[in-house]
Amino acid sequence: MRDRISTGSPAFDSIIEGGFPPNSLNIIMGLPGTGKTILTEGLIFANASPQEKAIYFSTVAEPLDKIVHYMQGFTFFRPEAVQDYVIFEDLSRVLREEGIECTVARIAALLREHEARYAVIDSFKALRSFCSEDDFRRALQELAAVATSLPLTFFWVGEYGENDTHHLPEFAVADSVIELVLNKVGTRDNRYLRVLKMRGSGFLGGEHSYRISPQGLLVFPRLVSPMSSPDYETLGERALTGVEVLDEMVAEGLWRGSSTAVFGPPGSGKTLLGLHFIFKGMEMGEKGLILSMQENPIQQARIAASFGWDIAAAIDSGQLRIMYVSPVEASIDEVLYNLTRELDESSAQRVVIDSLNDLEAAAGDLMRFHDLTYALLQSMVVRGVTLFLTAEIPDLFGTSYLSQFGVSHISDNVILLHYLREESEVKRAITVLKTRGSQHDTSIRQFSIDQTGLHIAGGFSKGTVFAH
Amino acid sequence: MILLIDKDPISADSIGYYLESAGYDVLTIFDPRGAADAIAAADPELVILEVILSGMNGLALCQALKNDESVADVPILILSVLSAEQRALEAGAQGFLLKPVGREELLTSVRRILSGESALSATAK
Repeated sequence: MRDRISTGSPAFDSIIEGGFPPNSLNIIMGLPGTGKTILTEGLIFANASPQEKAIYFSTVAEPLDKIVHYMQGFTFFRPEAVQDYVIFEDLSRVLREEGIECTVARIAALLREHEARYAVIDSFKALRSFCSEDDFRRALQELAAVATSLPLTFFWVGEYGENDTHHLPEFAVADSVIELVLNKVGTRDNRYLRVLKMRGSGFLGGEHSYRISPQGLLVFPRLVSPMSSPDYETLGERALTGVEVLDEMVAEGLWRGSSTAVFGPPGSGKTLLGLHFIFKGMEMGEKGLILSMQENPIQQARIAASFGWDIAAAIDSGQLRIMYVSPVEASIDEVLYNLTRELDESSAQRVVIDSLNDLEAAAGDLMRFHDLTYALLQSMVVRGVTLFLTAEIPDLFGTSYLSQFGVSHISDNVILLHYLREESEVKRAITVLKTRGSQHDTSIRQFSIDQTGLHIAGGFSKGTVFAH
Repeated sequence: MILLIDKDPISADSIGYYLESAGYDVLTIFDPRGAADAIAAADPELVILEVILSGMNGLALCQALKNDESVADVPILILSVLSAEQRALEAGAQGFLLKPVGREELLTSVRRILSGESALSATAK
């Protein structure tokens, strides 16, 4: 049995079990501008060879010259292949002057003449405009029969909408259907693809983010909750936080492989606590990874240096990696995809994500954010990574609603940094609200920040009255 | 007379229009398989050839024409959407232009080739 036909993108391949089934008939659908032509062009250039030719048939949606002109800007385009083993054929003239029957005959003749292994008709939907529905159905049947008689993987591209899939006959004929979607969310364009159908084969369902780059489509498969690996065991070791008293408050440190959500208002010390956690880890021989959507690398280095930590040296030694992502531009799928790749490449054992607020903004959709956050936490667990997540809460004083991210109930540990007013003074306080599988100190402790970091003192004296 | 070999009547019409406006007679063919016979029959002063032809590679056709003694002396200008100037030189063409091309640029290249000069850029040469 032939191997699967790669899409040209390993990430996309992973969504459809390694690629399209060989000798299949596939519809690539989506509105104009979603990247259908780029996807199919990338695919044929990735697969075509002198022994396995590809033919790209353009119909009437876009002039062939324009398609070729723009394709030359992509890195997958190989000019030496053009008209040798990636053949471009313009069907517009035969379609206009001789009709659909002659067009189908022309397609069949060229497929046989070149013994093509891959072929694209773009736009397939546009063929409908040149004939009656009956003639189109006859043409469809003939094309499907030709495709079945040859060792050919065929792609029909069209500006179909979801409603079309329910009643147009080409969707019944197709072995698979891939939809490309472009949504406007705020000031951003969110692109995602979905597999609507894949006959005889599994696929990862749901929406997978992508963007268009000079390399073609960059696909970011959505993060899914992993199945536990057969040799997964709950790690029985503790990960020290780097703040001595905090370790005592959580019974000698956090469980290795656990997730800790640190909530606090602006300026309360969340990022600092994350730095303590990361640098303590490095001290103990554990590599670290920081995903920052708050401070850029220069700001991070400056903050760390003010407490005596040398981020540059840690990076140079290979002990630390920092990912900075602009919260305005990021898509959550791309962020999490790149995070898991960095994690696997670096073998980091401690990860700080700063902050959940920015991840939520990158998700653009609260349900998607909750699903992906759950999957993220589970991914860290099976990797044995100890995770620190920061989350900003709006209230400076008083009790806060911590469940806005849906994280406090799924993370193993929850720490709250807060401000308390005592008469005319504002004091910093830390409370451990939850530790799964462990005892913790439930007292509210005062803490301070100086040039050596965060320091926790004792509790507040009895009778201290706090204003809200 | 100039022989134009292209796949697209609309693109060919624009090129033909520019050439005819400058006083050239133009014959256009869309089936490249008859190119050698058409050249032998029409005896053009110049052949203008697209790379992306129906079912054929225009560069391979250019090479084949240059290897055919009966038509090898006819100069060839490759006019294509595919950026292939170096390959046009290697195939034996006397000139290369990238589509879309303006009237003056086209006519300048045509005049240079017809006067025996090359219409390839310095880098291609």
